[in-house]
Amino acid sequence: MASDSECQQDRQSWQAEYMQMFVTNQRRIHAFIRTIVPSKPDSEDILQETSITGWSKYADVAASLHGAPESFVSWICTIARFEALKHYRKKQSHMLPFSESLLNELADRQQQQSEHLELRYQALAICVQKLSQTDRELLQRRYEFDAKPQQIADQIGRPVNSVYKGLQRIRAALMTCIERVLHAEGFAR
Amino acid sequence: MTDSSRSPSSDRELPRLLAELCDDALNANDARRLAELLEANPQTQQKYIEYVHLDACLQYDSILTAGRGKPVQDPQTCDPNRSTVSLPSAFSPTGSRRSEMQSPAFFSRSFISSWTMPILSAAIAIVITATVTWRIVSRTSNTQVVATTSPDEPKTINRSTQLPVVTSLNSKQRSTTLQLEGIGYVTLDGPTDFALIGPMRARLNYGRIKMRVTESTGRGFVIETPDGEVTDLGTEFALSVAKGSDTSLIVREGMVDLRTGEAATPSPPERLVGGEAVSFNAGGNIQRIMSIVASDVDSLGSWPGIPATEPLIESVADNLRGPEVKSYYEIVHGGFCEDARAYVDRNYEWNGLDALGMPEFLIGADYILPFNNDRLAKDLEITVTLARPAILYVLFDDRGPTPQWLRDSFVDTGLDIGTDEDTGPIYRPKPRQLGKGPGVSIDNRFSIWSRKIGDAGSIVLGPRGGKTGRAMYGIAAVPLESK
Repeated sequence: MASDSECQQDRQSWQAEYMQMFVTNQRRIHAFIRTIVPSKPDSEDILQETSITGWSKYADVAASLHGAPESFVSWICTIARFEALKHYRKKQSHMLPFSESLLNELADRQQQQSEHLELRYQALAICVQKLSQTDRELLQRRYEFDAKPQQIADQIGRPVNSVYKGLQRIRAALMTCIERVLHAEGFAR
Repeated sequence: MTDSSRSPSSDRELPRLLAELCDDALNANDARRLAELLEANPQTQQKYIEYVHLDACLQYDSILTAGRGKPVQDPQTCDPNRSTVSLPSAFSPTGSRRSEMQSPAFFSRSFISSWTMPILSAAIAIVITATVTWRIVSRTSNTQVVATTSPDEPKTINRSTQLPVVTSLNSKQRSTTLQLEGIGYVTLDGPTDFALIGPMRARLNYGRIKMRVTESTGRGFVIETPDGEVTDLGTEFALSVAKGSDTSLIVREGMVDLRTGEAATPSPPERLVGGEAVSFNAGGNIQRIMSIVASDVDSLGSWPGIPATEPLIESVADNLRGPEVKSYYEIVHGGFCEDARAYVDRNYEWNGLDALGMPEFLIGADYILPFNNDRLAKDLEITVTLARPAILYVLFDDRGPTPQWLRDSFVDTGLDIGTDEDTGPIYRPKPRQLGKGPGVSIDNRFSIWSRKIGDAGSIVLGPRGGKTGRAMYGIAAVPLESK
């Protein structure tokens, strides 16, 4: 039988492993949640709840995940999915009018293409580098500094409508670029 | 029945709705319309997932700060150290203090600031503290380190507060490596005047250092020099400060921001990414370093003006890149061997095709790490300057036609060599991984072409030619007299 100190060591070991796995894969987990729950504040709340629930359950599954990042992401995204549904039921009136069946469909679809979405992220990293300085600055204001389009318009002295259009244009260009990069690298769907 | 989710109007509608969703501008009617479109059409769901995924990924600052470009100043604070937040103790190696970090936009908004993560972290801190006890013994409180590794002076370590904690110090005959808690490693090479002067700041007055930031909390660490300052954005880089000459900066991985001039009035930042190298001075003059010399693949690298022992390949240059480009070729003197890195911009290695290994005459050759991305450059000219008579080898990918310039002036030795290729910049479902040693995980075969060069001087090599899917050629040289 394992001694108390051995149990303590095991516990410490998986706790550290969980934290490392969670932090390392946080972007993927958060992106998964965002597609089910697009609201940024809500998705961040769900990320919190997911981290807590995963923490309480990790000891039971750690051995079966074999420390593999893909297995961890798949497991934690399943938890995130249930946390999103719970959250959605609680706060439905404040969220998008998605039915639960649609949420489940989106979650299924996304979990099935986890690797494809990771590919898209890698391609995005390349495409962002191809943006003009002006476009990159606009994205930085929107995403890095979390400024609303109206705030950006005030900062740069442009009509707010042109900021909306600019952001829409840049994201469309990035979507096109991602497809091109994936195609060039032999990952066309 | 009309399917409104697939009408031409919905094709125009969807991008607008998605953009409004991502910019928090979706009203209730539009939200209902978006839900309707998604409920009705799986293709729309796919577009929705990809678009929102893009939006989520852009939230992560590493995407937006990757690559070149002047960062925009935070409109909220106009403070370059913007969004500095306290991290839970679990994120620092010993769990003994809160660490400061340049926060990603995501962290700054809610994740770290909530109560949940510190609770998790407190538990983790206990674990991590226990595992690093042996290192804690070697330090006291917060420690200021002024390390002077001149051969004439002993190392001195003074202490004050609010400075990085040095958790280990590893001194070898020629170099000393400091491990900085929550930041990473600094290696001081030879005579060096280096001081930690703030929680995220150090000064190099003289000498050569290599810095590798291994912790996310180390991002934003600044090293001042008399010619300007370098801000780490998650990377490995090397700096050389010498009296009477410009300061040199080589970025091996990741990226840094360079500001020339005195710290009080620095210039706007210039971003450099892995594979770029420059020399700079306090007057703001920044010059590309065309090639660097490494005495071996893992070394600090020799610096311009500090020649390695009896180099055969003196320099390499190309006709493609203007002064705005900072990428460097790497010359490795005597470094050609199994698992030698093949390109500056790819994690590929040279290897023998089978267990017998690579041809013996290539082992220990001087060689050049070119840019694999140049494989499609039609007008490429690479000028290799040799210090003395040599046999110059071109290692040419067998998957395409041989260009005329190669057939005209080189001879196919009939021998081949291979490359072992790691997954490139794109994630692959079945990633290729590097093997160790000859004949292991060889991905492509290259013919070895040779040419005797009777005199010191420059040789011009042409473009690789052909289509995509083939690799750039490699270049190696051995002394003529030894063959």
